[in-house]
Amino acid sequence: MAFSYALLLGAFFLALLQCGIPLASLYYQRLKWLKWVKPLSWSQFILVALAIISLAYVFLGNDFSFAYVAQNSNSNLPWFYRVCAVWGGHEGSILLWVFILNLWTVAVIVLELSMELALLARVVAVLGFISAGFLLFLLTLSDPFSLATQSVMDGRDLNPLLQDPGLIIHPPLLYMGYVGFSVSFAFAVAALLSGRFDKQWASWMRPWTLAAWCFLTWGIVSGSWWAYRVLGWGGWWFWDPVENASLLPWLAGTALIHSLLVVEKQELLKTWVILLAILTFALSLIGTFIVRSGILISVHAFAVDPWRGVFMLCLLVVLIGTALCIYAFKIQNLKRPIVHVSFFSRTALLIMNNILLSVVIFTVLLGTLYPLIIEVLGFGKLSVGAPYFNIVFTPFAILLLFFMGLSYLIPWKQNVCADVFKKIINILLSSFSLSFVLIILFSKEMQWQVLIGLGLALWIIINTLQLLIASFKKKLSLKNIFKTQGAMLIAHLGVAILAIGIILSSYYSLERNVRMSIGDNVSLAGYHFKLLQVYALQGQNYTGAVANIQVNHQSNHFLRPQLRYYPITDVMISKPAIAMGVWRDLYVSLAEPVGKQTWTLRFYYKPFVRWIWMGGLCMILGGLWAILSRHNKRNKY
Amino acid sequence: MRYIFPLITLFIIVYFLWQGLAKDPSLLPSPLINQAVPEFSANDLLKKSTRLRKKIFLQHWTLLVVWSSWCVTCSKEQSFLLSLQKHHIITIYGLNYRDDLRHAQLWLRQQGNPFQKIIFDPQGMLAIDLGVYGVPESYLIDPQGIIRYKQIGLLTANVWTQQMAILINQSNKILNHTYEG
Repeated sequence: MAFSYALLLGAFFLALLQCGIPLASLYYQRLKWLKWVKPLSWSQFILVALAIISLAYVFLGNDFSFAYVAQNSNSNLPWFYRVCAVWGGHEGSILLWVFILNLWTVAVIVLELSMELALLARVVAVLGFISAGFLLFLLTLSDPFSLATQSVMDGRDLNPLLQDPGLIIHPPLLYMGYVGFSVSFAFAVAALLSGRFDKQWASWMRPWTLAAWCFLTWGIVSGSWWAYRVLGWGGWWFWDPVENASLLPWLAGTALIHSLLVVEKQELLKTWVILLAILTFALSLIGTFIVRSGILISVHAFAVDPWRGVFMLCLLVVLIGTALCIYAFKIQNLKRPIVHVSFFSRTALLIMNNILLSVVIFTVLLGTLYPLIIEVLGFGKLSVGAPYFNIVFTPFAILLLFFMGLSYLIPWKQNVCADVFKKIINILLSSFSLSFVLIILFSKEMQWQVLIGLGLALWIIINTLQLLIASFKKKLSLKNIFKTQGAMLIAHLGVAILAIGIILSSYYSLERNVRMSIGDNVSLAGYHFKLLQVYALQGQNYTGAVANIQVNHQSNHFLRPQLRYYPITDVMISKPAIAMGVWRDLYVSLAEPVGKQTWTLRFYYKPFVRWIWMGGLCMILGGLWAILSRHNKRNKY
Repeated sequence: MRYIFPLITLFIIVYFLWQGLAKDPSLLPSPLINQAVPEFSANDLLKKSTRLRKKIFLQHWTLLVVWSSWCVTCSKEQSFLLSLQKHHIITIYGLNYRDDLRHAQLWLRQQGNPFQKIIFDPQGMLAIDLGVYGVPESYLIDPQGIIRYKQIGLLTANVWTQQMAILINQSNKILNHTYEG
């Protein structure tokens, strides 16, 4: 459609102007030109929004004369999946990327009122530069509006794995996170260009980083929730290259939020924070690149034309290369106060957190790219799987949990007294003995891994309680504590909950693979399952079978796992049935028919698995709390 | 000076990603390379009455192309296959994979038919034995019925001249050499 293409072309030129005008006006000292910055960003946003709406419109209207629609939709697809099919393929997801980038840009100019226009202009210019790069990509190699070469009666349908409510929100959330880090990146580059990076600048930058981090966390949580419900294996994390691609910017973003706090409090670590902001966005771009170029084989693999990979790599070099060049030349201009950091202070702990997270980032990145490196160096083909990641990740996770708990007990600047050491040992001992008692009470076997993991999670929880009790004794109001420390308390509690979920569900899960005929019984972890019937199933764009399974005799509790066949894409998918619970999930999936009236079924008993996502949500709440409490504080100035 | 290290790191990572792009991840070494084509018996897509067996691959080099009417990329290699057939460069057989008989026949009428024989495999049984990964896919089979090369994805003129044609030439040379010796 020439009209939509023109919209994108217009947006591209506006993006160029959005980048060029602020930089030129500051360089030539024509500050009058700055009044164009906001209208330019707004009009670019409107054009991109119209483009994505028109794409959604042709999907809703089943217009298969567009190649992209024909490849990712079908007239039998329910309407909400047709809307989501907008980002079901490569072209549309790049368009979504650009749209979200514009959304963030507009959010920055609307919400960042406390910043002078001259400072804001550089940030907007960097965002315009990124936007221009991606719009060029849309216009040249991934035009979502190109017409189909041959006319087709009906489309090829959306990938059935993507036809799930979890996947409706997953990509936009993930992109909100990825692209959100472009704002931190823009702030960092603008700081380098202006030579100013102080407490004030860090306090402008932190809420944006937090917002992006919250979205990314939400995206990862929803992705893992989707994998659990759809892939039919009861797994929630696979260390798949695409998952790692989202975890890497998350880890870097986590380090960034924590180190920005140090800049805000003490103006330390400035050069590191700038580098970290660039690294976070670079990892987001590499993430997009890995997913979209099909360079690493994964369950999410998207086959694409090689020029797209080349273009995205060039974009990575131009964006990050430019930023790092500016970094190399300008970083000496930043003023750095010489401050002595005492060994036992919260600042030291935050530096420790950054070191640990950086090492984790390096090992995950190495593991993800290792197959590629080995192949390029000519040592053959291999793959790096979950065992590697579990082994390298665990020790760092243990250290991170330990230091996280420690941070409750240690004040910001001054050295600690002997009193605190006694407290640390007391709490550590009590949390590990509590962990020991709990394991003895509820399980037959004692595994030292569980003892350590559960102990450390309890160490965080007990520290939280201890802090609350201590503040009560000092007659501090609950409101006050939550205002100053609420975000940390909630988010770290989320980490403890997540840790409990991961440890208990991985060590105490039970599963059974059975062949069953109608009327057969099976028992697992004290639950009885009876296969009552198997019905035929007819959906809008699939056919299949659904089993009716009774849980515990004579109860009204039924589980109905489905096996679906999507004829258009010729794919079989098992939709598991899950009985959710706070303490355990029962998970049944219908695998395949073995003969007449005989089926293979998989039963899983997964204790505490729900805590994984609850912990994730808790972390998001913590992040939101941090943004909101910042906002309140700022209004007070 | 130390502030240049991030830039150097970036270029190292980009170097590997760049090289990785050139390597096609779909170039999985097939376990069937240098193995004989498995025994099979299947219908011909166009002549219902004839049964096709493994022996159709003997006595000459064959290009076996796996295709389907629902496969969009398949039509992109059709003109190249037609030109191969027109110049009698090699015998081309088709393997029609998981397809509907009428759709497949209609597709051939629209796109042209470069195939001498087409194995009709609606259930994908032979495809499983061959280890078909997806459509389109092409196998180069030598006169002894041994698979010598497998191309996953589009068969382009480049792949033909740089991989398959060279393989045929080399093998023929060795053969001629042994006869002369």
